[in-house]
Amino acid sequence: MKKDVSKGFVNVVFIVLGMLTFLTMTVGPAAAKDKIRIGCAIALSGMNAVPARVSQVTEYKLWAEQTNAKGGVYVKKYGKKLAVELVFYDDNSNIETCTKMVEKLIVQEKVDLMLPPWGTAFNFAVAPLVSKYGYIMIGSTVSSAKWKELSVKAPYLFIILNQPQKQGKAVTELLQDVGVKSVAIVYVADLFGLEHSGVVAPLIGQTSIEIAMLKSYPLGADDLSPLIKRIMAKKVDAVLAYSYPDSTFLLTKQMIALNYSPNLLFFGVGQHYPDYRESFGSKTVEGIMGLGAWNPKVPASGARDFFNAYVKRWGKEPPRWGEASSFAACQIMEQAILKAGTLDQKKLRQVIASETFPTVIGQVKFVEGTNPNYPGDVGQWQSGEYEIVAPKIKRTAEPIYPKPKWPSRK
Amino acid sequence: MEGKHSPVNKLFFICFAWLVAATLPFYSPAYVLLSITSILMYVTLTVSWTIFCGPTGYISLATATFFGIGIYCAALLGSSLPAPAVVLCGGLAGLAFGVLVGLICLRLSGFYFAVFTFGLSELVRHSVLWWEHNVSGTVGRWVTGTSITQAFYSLLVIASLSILAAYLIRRSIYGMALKAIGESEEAAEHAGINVVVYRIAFFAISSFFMGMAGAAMAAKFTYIDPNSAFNPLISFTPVLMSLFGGIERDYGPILGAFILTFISEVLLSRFPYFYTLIYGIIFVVVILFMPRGLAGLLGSGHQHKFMDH
Repeated sequence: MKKDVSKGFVNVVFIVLGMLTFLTMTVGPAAAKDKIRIGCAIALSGMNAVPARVSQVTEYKLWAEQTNAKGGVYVKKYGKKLAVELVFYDDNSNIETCTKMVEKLIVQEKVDLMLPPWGTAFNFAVAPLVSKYGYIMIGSTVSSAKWKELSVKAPYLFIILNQPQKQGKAVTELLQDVGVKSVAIVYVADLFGLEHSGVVAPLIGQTSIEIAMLKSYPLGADDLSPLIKRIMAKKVDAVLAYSYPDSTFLLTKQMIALNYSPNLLFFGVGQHYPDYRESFGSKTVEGIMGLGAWNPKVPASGARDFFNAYVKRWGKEPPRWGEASSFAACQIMEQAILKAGTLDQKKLRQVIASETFPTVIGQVKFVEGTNPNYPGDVGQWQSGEYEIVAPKIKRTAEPIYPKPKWPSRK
Repeated sequence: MEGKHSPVNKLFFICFAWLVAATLPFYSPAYVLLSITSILMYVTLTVSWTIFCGPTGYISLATATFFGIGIYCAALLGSSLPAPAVVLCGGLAGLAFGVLVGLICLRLSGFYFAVFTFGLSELVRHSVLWWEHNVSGTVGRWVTGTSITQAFYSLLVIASLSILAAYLIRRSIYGMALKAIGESEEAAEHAGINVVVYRIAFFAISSFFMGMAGAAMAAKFTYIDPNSAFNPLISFTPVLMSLFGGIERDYGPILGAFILTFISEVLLSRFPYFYTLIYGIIFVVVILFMPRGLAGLLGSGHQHKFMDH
């Protein structure tokens, strides 16, 4: 039986050696350049998988398919059109895995371009790394006032989504415009909730609107009715909830259950999903507002086409905020390659930093790495469409105020 | 048990493996180094988890806590102290907290211990969140990044130390005592084993290595927030890895961590859409057909054949 023990040991050695060999195997870049390989390490599994899919993966795939149907992107350096290939890696909703996978895409797969992961924290983690290797990256699900710190660490990152400071201003102006007298602000205890409430509360504080309540609730809370009851006791006109999709759905459900319908109800993320409208019904969500907005009516070339193509490809409507900007990010990369005539990241960066790009979210011209001209800062469900109601000059419809009461339940 | 069959061969193999590992940065592509670094991290976590939980049979689900404490140490001290000092501080913080946790859950065993430690790690995550939010006024922090090579070497040293510690403890009188505690705490008490001291000390030692691993790995996170630093997944992974490798042998947890990290990496990159599915199937197969883990299957033909427990 001695033999068995050493045999086991030899087996172990072989397994380890085999794995090392497998690890060192690299997919060598093809000799003749015939396609543009674009890497993306994003949550395909884990808790971020659903938002990552609807907000980025579906848009990227749609863009790649449309581009390849046209024959690809013309790159002057190679004198021909190159097809695009998306290389997705799963980050398992884990930041450490994400940074590892991003580095793998760059070092091992040697991709030509990079697309960002989902969510502010993940983008923050990945951006310095991607910049270190000199890859451009256009983040469409990043929302944080900290981007200024980031732009120093990550000069190759561009943020296409609208940012807290501007949105806070738009929200405040909207509240004044419709005549709100008092407001309760609640937010999820996370970078997102903290920053947005941190911006909007002082702005509202400067107006005559009374802030009756400013309170956070924990991420992943599964009963928010005590919070709602406290809000109810304040008898406010407006409720601003800087919430994530899970709590947006939960708050809506529990507010209906408690039959609490404030004159203005505003959520953070999730209310802009068509799934939100469908699960509660068009009548119920009528008048509900939320952070950030885009819809096919915005004055942007191709907005309607993108909407229709999305419905055709995925069998459902695209959500109405950053999703279009994920598609726009791809359009910008495509146009930058056309203009630069190369896949050289330095040149691409110069082009992206200085030029103006027509996209499905309108003309994008990056200023200090961010896009100051997003099509909508506040949206509102009106007869099944998520209309832009703030800022005032970008309205696709006038705001409905007060919000209709919940439809009576049968 | 083993050990007397071919000690020279084994020693040779270990030295060889270590030498290969230590010289890796000189000839391996950057990416392999990156993978091995993350494998070493899981080896450290799994081996140090096994130090306490292996012989006693108490399933601790607080690994994420100690790992996260290490990460936060690095985030707080990373810019002011040299890297080895940061790693050591992470370890010491883990140790101190390990003693505290050990004290709190002194009377718990079995199922209660598992649930308690898990609840505790969630409590810590939310407390840090609360602290960052209300006291520091932020949620996320930057961690000073290091080169791949530096992270690799620190993890190599930590993993080697934890393996050595696990090896020595298992063969010492303390290892026996822990096993006795696992079999029956009262009997161990009557046999003159100071159960309280042993439980706390070895729980803290395993926390020490977890803290060091966190501090060394922090640089790879670049940006941390409480939810990513205290990721509950980190608490479950070592349990799965040591079950997969088999806790009856020294090399079981190492093998388990090595192979599972490798498999998940291949799945995440080559089969990104089927990661969870395939990972789950592997697990079901292992639990059903390899109750002693890989090590049981590989190295002990004389101990069991297939389903013979």
